[in-house]
Amino acid sequence: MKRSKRFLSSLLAVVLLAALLAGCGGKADEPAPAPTTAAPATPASPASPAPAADPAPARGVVEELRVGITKDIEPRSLTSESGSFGRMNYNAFCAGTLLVRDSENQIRPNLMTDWEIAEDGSYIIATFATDQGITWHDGEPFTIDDVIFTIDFMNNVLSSGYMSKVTAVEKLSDTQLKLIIPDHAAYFTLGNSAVFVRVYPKHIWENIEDPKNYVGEEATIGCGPYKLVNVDEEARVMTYEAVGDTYMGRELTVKKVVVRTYDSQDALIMALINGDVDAMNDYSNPISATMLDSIANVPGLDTGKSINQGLFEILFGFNKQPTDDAAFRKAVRLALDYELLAYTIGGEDGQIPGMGIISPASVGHDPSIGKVYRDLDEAAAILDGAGYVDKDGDGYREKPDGTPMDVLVTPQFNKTKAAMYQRLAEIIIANLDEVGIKCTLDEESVRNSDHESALRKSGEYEIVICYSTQGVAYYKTSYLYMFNNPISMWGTCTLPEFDAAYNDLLNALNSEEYDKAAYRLQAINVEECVGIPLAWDMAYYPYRTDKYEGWVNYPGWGVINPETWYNLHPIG
Amino acid sequence: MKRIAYLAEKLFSALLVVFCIVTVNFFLVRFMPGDVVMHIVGEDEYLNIMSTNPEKIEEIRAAYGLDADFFTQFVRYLKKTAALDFGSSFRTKAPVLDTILFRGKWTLYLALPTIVISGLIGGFTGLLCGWGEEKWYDRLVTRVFLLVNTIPSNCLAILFLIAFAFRLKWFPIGGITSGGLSGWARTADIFRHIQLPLIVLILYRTASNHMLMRSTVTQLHGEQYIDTALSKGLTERLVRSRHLLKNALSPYITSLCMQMGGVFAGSMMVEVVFSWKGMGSLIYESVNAKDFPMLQGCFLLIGVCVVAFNLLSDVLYAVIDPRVKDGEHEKV
Repeated sequence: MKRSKRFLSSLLAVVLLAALLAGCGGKADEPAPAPTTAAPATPASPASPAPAADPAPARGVVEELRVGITKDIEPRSLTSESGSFGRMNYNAFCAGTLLVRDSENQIRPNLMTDWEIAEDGSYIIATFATDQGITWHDGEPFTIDDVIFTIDFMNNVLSSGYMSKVTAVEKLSDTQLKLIIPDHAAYFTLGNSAVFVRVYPKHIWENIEDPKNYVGEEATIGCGPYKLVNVDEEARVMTYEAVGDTYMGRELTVKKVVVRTYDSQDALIMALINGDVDAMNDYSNPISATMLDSIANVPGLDTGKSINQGLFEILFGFNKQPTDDAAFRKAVRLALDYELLAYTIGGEDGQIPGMGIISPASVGHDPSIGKVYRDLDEAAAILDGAGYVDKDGDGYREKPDGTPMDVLVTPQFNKTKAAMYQRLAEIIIANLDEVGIKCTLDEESVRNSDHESALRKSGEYEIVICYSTQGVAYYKTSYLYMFNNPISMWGTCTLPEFDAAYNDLLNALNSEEYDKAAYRLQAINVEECVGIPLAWDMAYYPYRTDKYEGWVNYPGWGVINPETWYNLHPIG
Repeated sequence: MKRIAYLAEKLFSALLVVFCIVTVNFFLVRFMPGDVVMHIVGEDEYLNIMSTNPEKIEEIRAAYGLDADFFTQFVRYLKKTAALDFGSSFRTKAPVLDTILFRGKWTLYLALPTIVISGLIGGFTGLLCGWGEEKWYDRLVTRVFLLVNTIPSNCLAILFLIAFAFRLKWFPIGGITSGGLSGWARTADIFRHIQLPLIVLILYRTASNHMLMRSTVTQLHGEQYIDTALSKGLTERLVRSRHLLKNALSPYITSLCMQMGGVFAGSMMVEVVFSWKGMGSLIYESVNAKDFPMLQGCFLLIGVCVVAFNLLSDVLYAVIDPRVKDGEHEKV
């Protein structure tokens, strides 16, 4: 017994000692992943980007901006768009992006300072800021060879789609390139790559054997206005410092940015309310309207409300009956309760959307197109006229050939929004039931991503509820999901006029042509009902207003954007 | 000698179970629907390669040795596992072993004090309440712990987080540390962050330990040897410590060892709620991301831990239970 007591006491003592040492085990901050050579900026060229603000008067600088994000601190690599590092780079941050967008969603120059598109869209003459003294964060100069390398690297090594239309590059000078685009998609290439395409340092990446999986320290070396100086894995905090007082001739008013990762938006919102962070950055993932009450009347906190470009929509499968029939699709559009849908999606701020789908916050929106509306009688009349009548008296309509009709409603698989998708599906099924259309919820897709994925790839679906993300809405529009092409996740639309209009949108040579094609697509949707928007809603990206001023809230994007680094000042 | 034979038998069983776990881990990925390469490189990357460079799929297959026959693959896998080479995560691209070691460390910091403190408190209160069944302190303590025991750990964690961190601001909202600190300031900050999740876990574990010890003691209280000891004039305290505790300890130690076995996954939901980046939240994130290499590594570690602590409980039995010493365990 004595021996067993001794044994147990020793065991407990060891465990307690380990527990006591736990607090002392935290490692000190990791060394900076990159040398801290600052990029000396030279005065801006006339074509350099100056989208919104004049050089700031002496209003003080922000010594430390604290940003909350829900993406993990890994992976940290220029090649990755996921994770905190990748998402922050959408804001022309550590990575130098070729182009940016302004608060009006218009393409603006960045490292690509100027461009000229050929009349037939077959090439772009692009000028780059390789003569402005910009350096990589390891001190190497940013050169035109880095740009040439980037395009080749993206197309042939990373297999990225952003620059895939560029088949060749001709060097015209140390600042100019001719980008050859045989299928005339020059404007699309610019629009598609804005925000997302960052330049890679040739001297680093040409020597990496497996670039897609490389996460060494050099993987974070960019040529943007901020360099990564510290990663605290335990705190899940990344610290970035401005490369100098100015960048491309503009004063950087934020000296240090601390980006902290939170596990959930709930935790992030609590941190915002408590003042632990100043603003949030969560690409295409604004906080849910149901969380609005908790932030609405908090002193010093702005809800960051703006119209959302991303939206929930219905897609119809053109490979299946009855969704391949325009009459049926139009009847569905007339049967839905948009007030309820808008409230469910956007709460008090949810709006009944237009029949053209594209949100008013997006380029190409046609304001002349009317909104969707509910008219059960009209829906029933259309169904009757098209032969969808109840022949066996069971209360549900049959197909025109008399066979039973049971439409499968498939919500897109999404873990975080699963409850919302399910609720939307229930509303749609109940609404269609009212006009005698029998529907079944595709429950397997709610819980099994593989099933949904298989359905998506085969195109053998009937009604799909999906979400058009901010990134897609930016340029490709929500119609991408209907486009019958490998670049689309879902598309099955076989209408030749839709196909032609979407191709025109992709191959537009300028904003006028783009708008024209977008207007055509919206008109086609009014007539053919290829898809149905369920609501236009507001995006909320809350931020604190008690410390800093000069926030610019990009619609559907938030106050952390490419302009933040040049506009923010301490209050007073 | 009999005790050595007993331990040898247990050790052999444990090794056999570990081998089974390793084998299941091997077949897990290979028997999943779809191409194995898809599970290795991730679905998005697989589709990307398929659409741009399909022949690369075969290169990857060869690189991972998947073009070889099953037996050869299995032998290679065993060699890699023995060398603790689990590959890299799909999600973070970081080596699986490095991540597991990093996250495992933080789970241990949370779990070990929990097991020790809750083991001691739960054992003490359980013994006290079981002995004084239906006395005022038993009614009070047992009812409180019963209530705690019936609340799911994630609910309890959320309630504590909202009340003490968000509303009262007594503790940080989550995470391991605030960052930007070093030395003792950092240690103090980690201590500040660990308190709330630790309190929740200790409360939760203490409640279940209390219930177990109480029910064991209640059961043993009416045994004849207890009455005999009391009738011999021994004080209640001596009877409790010399006679009762000794017999009540066996199931209790088994339970504690089981808790130690599940140490890496046992606090998953609390870790998730408090953003504590330990093994529990790693498994949670990996499941969500279908990060199979990471999950394989985690499952293997958890499996080995469960087996190891079961073995430990057998060893402890051999130490404290005279029946094992005398070879009577087979009859037990």
